[in-house]
Amino acid sequence: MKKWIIITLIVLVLIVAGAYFYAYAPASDYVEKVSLEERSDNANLYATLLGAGIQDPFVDVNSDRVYVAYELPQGSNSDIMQRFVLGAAADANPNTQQLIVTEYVNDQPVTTWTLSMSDFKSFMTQKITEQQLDVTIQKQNY
Amino acid sequence: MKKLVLFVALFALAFNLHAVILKTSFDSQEYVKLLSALKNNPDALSSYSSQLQQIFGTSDKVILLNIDKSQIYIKLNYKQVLEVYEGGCDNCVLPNPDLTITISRDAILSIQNSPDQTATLQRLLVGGYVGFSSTNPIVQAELKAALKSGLIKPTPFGEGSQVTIDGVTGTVEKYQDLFKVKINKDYYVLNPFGGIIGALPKKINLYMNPPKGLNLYFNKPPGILAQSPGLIYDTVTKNPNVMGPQNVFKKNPGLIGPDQILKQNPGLIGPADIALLNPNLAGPAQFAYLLGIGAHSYSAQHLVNSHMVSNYVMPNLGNHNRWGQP
Repeated sequence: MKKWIIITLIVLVLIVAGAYFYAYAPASDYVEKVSLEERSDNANLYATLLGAGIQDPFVDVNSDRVYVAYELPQGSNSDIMQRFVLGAAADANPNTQQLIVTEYVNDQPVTTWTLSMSDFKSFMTQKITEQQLDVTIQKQNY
Repeated sequence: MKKLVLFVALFALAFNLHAVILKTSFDSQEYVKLLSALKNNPDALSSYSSQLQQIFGTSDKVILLNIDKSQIYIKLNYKQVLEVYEGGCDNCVLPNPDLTITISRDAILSIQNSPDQTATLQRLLVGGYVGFSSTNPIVQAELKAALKSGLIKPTPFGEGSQVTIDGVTGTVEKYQDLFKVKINKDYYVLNPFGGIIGALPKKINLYMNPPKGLNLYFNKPPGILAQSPGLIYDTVTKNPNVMGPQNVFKKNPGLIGPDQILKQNPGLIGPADIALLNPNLAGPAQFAYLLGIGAHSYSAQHLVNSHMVSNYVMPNLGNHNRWGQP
C-alpha cells in the first residue's frame, strides 16, 4: 500500500512538473553567430580603409585576429598601404591577437603580412623599436 | 484560435513599442526613455486597439518586456501607453506583469531588419525564440498549444527562396550557415529567419578564399558589414566632416593615388595625413606615423597640436620623412 502511495506521488509530481515546463518553458535566446559588434567593427574598418582610397576591401574582425584583403589602389605604394592597413586593423579591435593583411593586384594575391598584436603593442609602448617591429612582421609573397 | 490571434496581436504591440528602441543603443535606460515618448500618444497603439480591447478589456495591464538583460515594464490599456519604467531599480515596487514577453536583442533586430517582418516573426515563434508567459496558467497553456498546433505556418525560407529588398527581387544563396542575396550590386546577408543582418563586399567570392599557403580559416561567416558597402561609401565620401582620397580626387582629377597626393599637396604627405582628416581615424594615423610613414615634423607637430598624436611620438619623428624628403 505504502509503495503505491509513493508511486502515485512520484507520477503526480512528474505530471505537475511536465505541465509547468510545458506552460512556462522559457524561450531560447536567438544569438547571431556573427555578433552585431563584430559586424560593426567590420563596417568601421571598411570605412577607414575606404577613406584611405582602398575600394571595397574585405575585412573580418574578431577577437582572434583581424584579416584584411584588398586591392592595391592604382598608383599607390605597396609598403605604405600595407603598413597603413596594419595600423587600421590594429585599431579595429585592440584586443585581437593577430593582424593579417593580404594585398591583391589585379585580383591576384601579391603579399600577406602577419603581425602579432603583442608585438604591435610592444611597439606602441616603445618597448621595441621600429626596426625590431619590422623583423616581427612575417611577409609572405606569392 | 481567438487566443492565437490575440497573442499575435500582443506580439505586434511589443514590436510597435520596440521600434523606437532600435534607434539607439541597447541600454535599458534608453529603452525606458524612448518608450516613454509613446506615453499618452494615441497613435502608438491605434493599429492594435481593437485586439487589445479583446484581450484586456478596458482595464489597465502591465507587460514585462525582457530583452536580454533589460527588463522594461509597460503599463497600458487598449488605448494608450500609460507608463514605462525599468526593472531592477533600487527600492522601487514593481507590479506583477499580466504578460511577459522574452526575446533576445538579435531576434528583435532580425524582425526589424527583415524584408518580410511577419514571416520572420512567425519563424521565430515557431522556432521557440520568443517567450510568452501569462500569470493566468490557462491562457499560458492555450498560447503554448496554439503555437504547437501548427496554426502558424510561416513561408519556408532557405536556398532558392525569393527575397525582395528595395523593390528588387533576388534569389537566396547559401553563405556558410547563413544566406546571402544579391540585390543590384550589393550582397545582403540574411539569417535563417530571413532577417537582414548585414552586407558583403562585392568581391566576397574572391576574398573569402585566402591565398594558398596562408593557413587562415573562417570559423564563422566572414566579412559581414553592419551596413551595405554603398551606404558606407556614401557616408565616407559625402559626409563633410570626412575628407578621404575620393574627395581629393574629385577636386584634383590629376591625382591618382596617395603617392601623388603626397608629392603634389604640401599639406598631405601620405595616407596617414588623409586618414587624420577624419577625426575617427586618429588611431591608424598615429600608428602610421609611428611606423615612419610620412614622418614629417611639421605634420607631426600639427597632430600633436590637434591632440591626435601623443606627445611621446614627437621624439621619434625627425625632420625628414622615410624617403629622406624634408
